[in-house]
Amino acid sequence: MLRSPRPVIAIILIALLGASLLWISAAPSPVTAQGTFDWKRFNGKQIRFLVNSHDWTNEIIRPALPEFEQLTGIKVAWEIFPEDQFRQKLAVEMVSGSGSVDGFMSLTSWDGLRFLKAGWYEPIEKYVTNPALTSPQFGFEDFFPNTRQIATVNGQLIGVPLYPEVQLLYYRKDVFKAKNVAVPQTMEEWEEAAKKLTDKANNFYGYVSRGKRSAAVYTLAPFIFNFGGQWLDKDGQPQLTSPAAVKGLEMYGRMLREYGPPGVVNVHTYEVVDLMSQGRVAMASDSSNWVSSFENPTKSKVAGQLGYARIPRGPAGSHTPLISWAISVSAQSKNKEAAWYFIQWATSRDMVLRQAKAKIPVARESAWKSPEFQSSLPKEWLAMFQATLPDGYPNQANPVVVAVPETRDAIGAAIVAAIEGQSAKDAAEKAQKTVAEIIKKTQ
Amino acid sequence: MSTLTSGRLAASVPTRTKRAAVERWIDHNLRWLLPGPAVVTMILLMVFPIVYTAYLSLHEWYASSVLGPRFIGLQNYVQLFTRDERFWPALVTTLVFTVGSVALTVTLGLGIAHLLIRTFPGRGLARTMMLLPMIATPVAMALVWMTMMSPTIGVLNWLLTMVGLPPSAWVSSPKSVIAALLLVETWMWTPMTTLICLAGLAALPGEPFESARVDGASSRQVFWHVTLPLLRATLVVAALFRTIDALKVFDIVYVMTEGGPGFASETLNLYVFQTSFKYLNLGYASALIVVFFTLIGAASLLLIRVRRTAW
Repeated sequence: MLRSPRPVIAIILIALLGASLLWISAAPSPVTAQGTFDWKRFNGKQIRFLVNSHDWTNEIIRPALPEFEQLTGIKVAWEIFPEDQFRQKLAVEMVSGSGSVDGFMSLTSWDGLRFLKAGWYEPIEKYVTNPALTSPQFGFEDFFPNTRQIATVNGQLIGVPLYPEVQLLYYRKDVFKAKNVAVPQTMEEWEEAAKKLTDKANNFYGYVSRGKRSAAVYTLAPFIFNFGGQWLDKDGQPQLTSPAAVKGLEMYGRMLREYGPPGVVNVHTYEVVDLMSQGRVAMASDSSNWVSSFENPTKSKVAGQLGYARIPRGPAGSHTPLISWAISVSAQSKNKEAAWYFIQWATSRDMVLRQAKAKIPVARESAWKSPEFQSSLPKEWLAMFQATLPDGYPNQANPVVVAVPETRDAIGAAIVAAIEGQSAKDAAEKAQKTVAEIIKKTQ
Repeated sequence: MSTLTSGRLAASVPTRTKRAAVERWIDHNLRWLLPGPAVVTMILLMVFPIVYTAYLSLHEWYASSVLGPRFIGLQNYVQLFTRDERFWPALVTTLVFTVGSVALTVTLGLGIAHLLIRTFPGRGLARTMMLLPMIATPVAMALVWMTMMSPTIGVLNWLLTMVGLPPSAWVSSPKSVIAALLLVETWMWTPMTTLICLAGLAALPGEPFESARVDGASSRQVFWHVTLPLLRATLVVAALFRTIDALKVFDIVYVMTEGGPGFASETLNLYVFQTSFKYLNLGYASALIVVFFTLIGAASLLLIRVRRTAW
């Protein structure tokens, strides 16, 4: 009689254990069916990532970190900073060589060559192709080929692309209709349309894009590409004085001077968005990413009235820079494999699908084609983005050199001069000389 | 046990004399020891950075480079004085901005102080109001001015057109950007010169004014021949403070133009900032800083000399 409670307790314990096992296996698995891939291989490791503030870092990854820690047993410090501070912080930590950073983000068009030259990137090809380190579900070929190029610097794969951007032409459907103007298909039609739509007396302007020194280099790029120019030649020397580049610079300056709002030389991308959202311009060309701001009725007066088009084509077609932040393993890390585990989780099919559901553009084809993403953004925008993508020039937001900030400042000064009505040829020659000198000194 | 105790006792005698010696040494060297910590701190915080900057200025060094600083002699300086297309314009901009800023703030400050020294109802309130621009955070104020100066939606252009004047591009044109920045600078720093002049005016003796008036001097004559000479030392102090401040102006320019359009409003300080923190070119930035430091030092010395003769 006295011993009878023991088996009862044992039975209850076994039942509880069984129930909890059932419960665990019945719970939705955090990410992907695990198959035979050993996610727990680096259980107990601690890793630290320095990242740039963005909806993706703040709203997609940060809240999901506990899922990763549960899946792998790896603890993650996810440190988010605004862009400028992020670069300073990263530079200081990497230069000190303490090895305390296991992974970081970088904008390859901006940081790529400099980070590569400094030896901060761990090449990840060997991780991606190793079945012991990369889950069969990962499927790197699911990323658009062009976007994989973004994360390739000097022929080395240095990370995984996160959220790609191209440039699009945003235009006001209602204004185009009222003034009976067709959506421009060529560079000439573009300028023609800007001219017709400008109504200075009523403070309404045909076209706006960036006019502020360094920022404007990005939006100037398609003007150079579409006339057949490039930033650099095959030997990495600047091509700013080529006829195509001068023509592009001249046209960009003229369009902003004649048909742009006053004070356009102080217009950064934020002002482009403001001017468009406030209904003060008929057309704008800028990053494709602004679509959610424009279509948000609480931020934009023109929500629902916007049309999306490819940047009008020139003699050489229609090409825009294709850029993206990427996430990389630090070459100084002592836990490189654990850091790679984190990256493949953060860019896995399921996580990227989550990103797509939050209306953040994605680099994975599967997520791009998902019904959730296709229904979350305007059809026209999706179509134009996808049409632009294959013709995009990976990382060509500026000459891809080691010293991007000073190079952009030098080209930006030429853009300001062109907008101010000075000779585009002289401005280009001056920039060419400065950029050549910068390249000579830093490469 | 006993040997131990006696040993300790024996040792205590020389200890005592040793302590006395130490005390004597301390007494003797007190004049070095007391300021010692302060001097060491000064060396660590001021002399070392200056010397290290001068040392770096002779090197080529990018913060993102895997290699350490590379000695290149005076090449940075040669580049700076002969080939750099941004240095000379930045120097000119800095000087124009400084001269404009000092002239405007000191003149206006003297004028306003002259008004506020009189007794009138609400004087306390007027003095307090006058101080407000100086108390406000420069970056926040620069942002407010930016909005007011916006060519499309700004209130300033609206005001100009209201009174029949043509709108201005303010900070959005290379032609008007320095004037627009000077406007903000003057608005922000005139209170400081006013304050200094008020203190100077309040401390002036009354007799020279009385005798001048007895001699039949007009108020303009009193101002030019009595007030100004008496205030000279005060004005030099105000000008000295303002010169140093204006030479190293950064916040309002950075927030409002980042040195643009183009490089039209790039001051030396801004150029140094871009070179060091954006381009990470620390060697070259150090050379710029050394030149800039020399410039500020020279300006200060000059003004201090003027002040000596003013006493």
